[in-house]
Amino acid sequence: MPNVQSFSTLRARSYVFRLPLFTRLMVLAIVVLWLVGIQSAWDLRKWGALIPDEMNFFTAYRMNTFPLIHLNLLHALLNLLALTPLLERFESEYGTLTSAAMFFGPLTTIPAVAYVILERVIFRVNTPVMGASMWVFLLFSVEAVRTYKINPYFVIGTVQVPTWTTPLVMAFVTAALIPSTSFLGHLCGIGTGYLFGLGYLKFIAPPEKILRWIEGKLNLLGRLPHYVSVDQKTYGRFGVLPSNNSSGKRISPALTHIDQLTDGSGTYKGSTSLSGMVGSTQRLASALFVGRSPKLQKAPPYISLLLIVVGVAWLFMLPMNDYSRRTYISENALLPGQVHTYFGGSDQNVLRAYRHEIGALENKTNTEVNDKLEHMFRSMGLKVGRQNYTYTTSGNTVAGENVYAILQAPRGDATEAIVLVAAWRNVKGEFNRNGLAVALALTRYFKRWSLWSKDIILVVPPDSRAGTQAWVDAYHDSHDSRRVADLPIKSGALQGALAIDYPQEERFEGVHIVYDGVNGQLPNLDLINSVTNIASGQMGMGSSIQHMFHHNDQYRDRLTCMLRGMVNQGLGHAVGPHSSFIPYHVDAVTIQPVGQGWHDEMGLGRLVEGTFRSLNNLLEHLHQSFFFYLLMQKERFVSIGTYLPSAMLIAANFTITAISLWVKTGYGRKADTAKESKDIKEKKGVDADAKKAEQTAEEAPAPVERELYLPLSLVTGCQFLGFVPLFVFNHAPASLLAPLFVVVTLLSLALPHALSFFLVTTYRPTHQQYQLITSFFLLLLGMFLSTLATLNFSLAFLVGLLATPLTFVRPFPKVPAAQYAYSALLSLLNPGVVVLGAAVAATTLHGRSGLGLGVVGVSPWEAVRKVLEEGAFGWGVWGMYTPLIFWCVWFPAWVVGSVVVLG
Amino acid sequence: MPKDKMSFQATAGTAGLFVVAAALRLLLFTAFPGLPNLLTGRVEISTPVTSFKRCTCRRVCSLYNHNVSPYDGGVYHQAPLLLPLFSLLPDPSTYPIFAYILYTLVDLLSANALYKIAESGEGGASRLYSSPRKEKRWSGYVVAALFLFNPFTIATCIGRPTSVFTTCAILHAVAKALSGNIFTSMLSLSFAAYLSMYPLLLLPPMVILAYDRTYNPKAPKSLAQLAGMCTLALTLTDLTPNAGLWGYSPSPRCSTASVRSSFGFFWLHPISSYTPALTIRLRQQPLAVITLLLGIFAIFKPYPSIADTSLFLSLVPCFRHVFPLLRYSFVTASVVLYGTFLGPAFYHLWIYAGSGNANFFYAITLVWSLGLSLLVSDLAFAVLRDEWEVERPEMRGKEIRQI
Repeated sequence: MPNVQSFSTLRARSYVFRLPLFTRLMVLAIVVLWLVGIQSAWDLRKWGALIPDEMNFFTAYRMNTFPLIHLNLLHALLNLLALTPLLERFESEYGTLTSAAMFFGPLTTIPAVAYVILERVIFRVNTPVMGASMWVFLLFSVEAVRTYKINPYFVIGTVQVPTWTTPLVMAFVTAALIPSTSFLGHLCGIGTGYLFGLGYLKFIAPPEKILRWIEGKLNLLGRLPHYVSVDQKTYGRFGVLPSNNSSGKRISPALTHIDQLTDGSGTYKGSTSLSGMVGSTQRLASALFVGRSPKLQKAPPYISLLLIVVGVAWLFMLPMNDYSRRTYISENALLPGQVHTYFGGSDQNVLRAYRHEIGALENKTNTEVNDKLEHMFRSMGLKVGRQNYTYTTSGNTVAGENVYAILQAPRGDATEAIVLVAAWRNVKGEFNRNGLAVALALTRYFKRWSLWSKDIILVVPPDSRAGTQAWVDAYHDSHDSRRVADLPIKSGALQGALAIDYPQEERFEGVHIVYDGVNGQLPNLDLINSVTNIASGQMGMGSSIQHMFHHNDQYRDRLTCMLRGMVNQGLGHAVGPHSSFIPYHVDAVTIQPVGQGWHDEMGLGRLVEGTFRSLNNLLEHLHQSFFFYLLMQKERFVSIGTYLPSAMLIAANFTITAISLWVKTGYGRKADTAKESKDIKEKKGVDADAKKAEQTAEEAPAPVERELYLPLSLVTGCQFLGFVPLFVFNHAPASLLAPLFVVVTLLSLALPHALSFFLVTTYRPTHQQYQLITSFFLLLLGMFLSTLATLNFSLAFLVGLLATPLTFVRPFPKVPAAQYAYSALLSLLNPGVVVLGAAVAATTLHGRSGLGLGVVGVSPWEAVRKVLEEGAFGWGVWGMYTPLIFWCVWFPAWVVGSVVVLG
Repeated sequence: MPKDKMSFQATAGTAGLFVVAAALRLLLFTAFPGLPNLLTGRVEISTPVTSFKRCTCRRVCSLYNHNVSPYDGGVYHQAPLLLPLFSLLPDPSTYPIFAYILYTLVDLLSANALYKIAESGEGGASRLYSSPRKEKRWSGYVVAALFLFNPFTIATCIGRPTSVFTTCAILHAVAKALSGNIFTSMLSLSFAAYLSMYPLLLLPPMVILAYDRTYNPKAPKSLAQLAGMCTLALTLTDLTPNAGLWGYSPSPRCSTASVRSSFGFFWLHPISSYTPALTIRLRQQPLAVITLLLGIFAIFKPYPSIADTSLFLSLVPCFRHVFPLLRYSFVTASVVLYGTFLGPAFYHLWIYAGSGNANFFYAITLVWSLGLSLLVSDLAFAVLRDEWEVERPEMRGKEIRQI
């Protein structure tokens, strides 16, 4: 019996190649008919299935077509798997002609007729059947009867079970496990099979004499491949006597195996003469996909290329209608836009008064402002807290004092809270006058309502970048108490946060929803959907995302919107006061009124009120909807299952090349080594290595030992080298950042040349060592990127895409031109060069970039400084890991890759 | 006399290495003051039974100082002797440097033991078996360096779980057994078993190792000597039932704790079944048995941590001679690397980001265990293959196939 241990791909392959003719034809017919069945113009299944009520003389063809037609792929596949070995046995026993005659004749029609009669006359139902399973059961029962003759019982405990019952048991099991199978149809097949196996149907078999005559006349044996002659057939498969059966069976796998090994081509001989002494054989990896055949060994670069192309194409498919979905509210408790909002009327006078008071404070110091705000909060009857913070990054000190007030829920127990943030200045540094006024008026208004079940916290940080971060850190007790003070009062777990950013004085047209969090984490999609829903549906104001104020919902706009979102996510910096909340699993968005329209502050207030009412409804933290998504329009998104493959494919391309290179290094390469040694000879230095290489080239591709020390230490060393620039740029003062960056970029461009020169002169790395170096650094890169893809998809995708040329790095000793060209290409994709280019490009963007870096319209020099400052600020304040990925994943891979190209 | 000379050379040759390793650890401790506490909180490094925080937390210490059982309250699950040790240290929150120095020293002691183990050459040639490949081996210097600069070891040292004491005790037990110092070896092993139960399972191979190393063909005293060693070990380990995990289990006051301990007991069963099998099959190479068992512990013991992995990985380089026979070295290395990086990422998604769930992390622990079990089985294969080629010299270099 075959079992798992004795399974080998070699044998399976040779089995498939030795399938006899009729079996092949039947398999082919089933596959073709399945393919035909895919189209929807002509209903093949209706035409060919065995439908009892439609049987008459003219539709008798159904009795022959039904076994070849299947419901779906799975049905066809399972039946094929079951049928092929059984049919192969039958055919090699009875011959191709007999099988064809039997299976187009009695063995199909008898059960079919029996089935139709049973259905129509006895059960009076009409169940159409199709599929080869009737044949499967028929052949199975023939085999079972034969087994019964040799081996009548098997014993379970003390009970002897006759072996001929196995098909019946199987039929029961199939009927129980697999839905919509025809038990009756299977029984008909089994019955016919028993009759045939017991010999009662021998008479219907075509006479042997005629068959011989046909075969001889047509010379079928000579003409048809894989034809099984009538003469070849034997009684029983493994010999004449049943008693020989078991031993014959036991020997046969071993024999066939040896056969294959000896008569296989030279490629197999390599595998038998594998030396276990040197080189680890890597049978697993090689069996998986590389093998030792030269054709397959050349495949991995193409596979890698294919993966990259598919990965990128995948991304560009996402904005299409078929791949993206419309958004929907997943958490029913939210009920967005279902409540009437009452913020209005006399509250407008209150708001105007607050705006006036805040306007008067514009040029006061932080402390004076907070004193005044504290006074206002206290007069509303709220609890007030103040918190100092001081951050130092890039030699600059960012200090300030947050003030916040807690409105205790009339119907709550202070275990949950919602946050309203109105920063004194927004991320661009503009004075958030109206936003603060709206927030104050709203808080005063909220205080009057008794329906809040969650505390409401109003936070007023002096800036939008560091202040909220300090506040959230301290709220969750994960702050560094040397830089950030503790919070004097707290409330419950934060359930959501909304930030208002309304610096403009005029009325507005719609709201812009900013949702990107630090490190590319996103708020739950339900929150964005709720805000969009209330703004567009209830308030009748427009809403937009990613600075796409005029979105026509066509492919191009969707793609632009998605790519902007990806760039923001990939950069991983805070784009609004809400961003700092998201790493703490507090869903948050910033609402920015934009455009010139007829909506006033009260409308914005009602939008916030409506959203807060929705959040107030929540019984548990937002969890229903997606946390990983790409929005391409405010109402259209793709979820992680759809977009993740593109980043994973790009990461996988590195891994595949790494594995294939590792496997390759385990064996000497016949052709390549010979060529190479010739090349070396042509050069002057014919040294001992070349001779040795030539010697090994003469022999068969023998396993060779890998020299790991140099590759390992080079890759590890470069990996740690990345920490140097990381440290430098996170600690250098702001004025030095841009010059330092240029210096580091120039140095990093020179570094591969220096390293390569050093390696070549000191160690003379062999071809194998270069392959190992490539293998290791690609493995690491693939691993880092696939890990990163689960955390920050966009960053992984962008870095992966920019690093794709590294997959194809090889030493090019033969073609210096190719070497220099490739090295030049890599120099263009040097991390430093890419950042410089991106910074310069960003300065010329027309204010629509949405990157929030504030580099539009400044000099390139200034732009680089700002980008680096943002990086250092993010690293120090927000815990943003983009610089780490940049310097410790991408940079080392680039250095090692360039060294290999130059080698 | 030659032994003394060797150990002297050991200290002289490795002094530089030890200084660098110690400097690296102290640098990491002092340059990144947040790092020790961060790593102490990682589930991969400290488990409930090895956590440094639970050992030094004020509550446990005050319970201990007020003569109340520290096991009350289900916080402390470790050996009682650790408590006086840690209460002797100055308060780690104010003077952390003492704990840092203690842990660095323990690591250096382990490395020293490992140096001796590697220098003895037991991996390649034991009393009953001498590998044809034994010439190919790494010096003690390399093995000790691989241990000291293994990222897992460094992370463990900085995370300060109590399992480093177990590691140190086990390595010393092996080293002393190799030098024929039976009493000290058994004492070390008992100490290890006292700290955490499972090293007790190393007793059979350890006894065989010590027996082989002290075997004197002129004065055969086999059975008596073996019996003596076993009694010695058992009487010393007899301390354990009133200690550690097992000490508090009868106490009705700690129901959750007792549930945990019985849980641990049932987990110990499958592990213990490996000991006799491996000891019998690899009778000729007791050090290989110990190494494989440590690998199995790292996979199957309750509350495994990377400290166990680093102990296993530290002994693997002693078998440099069978490395060419390893079949899945690349796969193993990749799987373990992937596990190392994806584990914390998925833990983050689960616990902090809230966007993943427990299955993410659970799946990656399975991958990690898969990697380790690949290494264990591959190493076992390589060792057996090495033995087999001595029996069947004609099969050298031929590919074999499992039937």
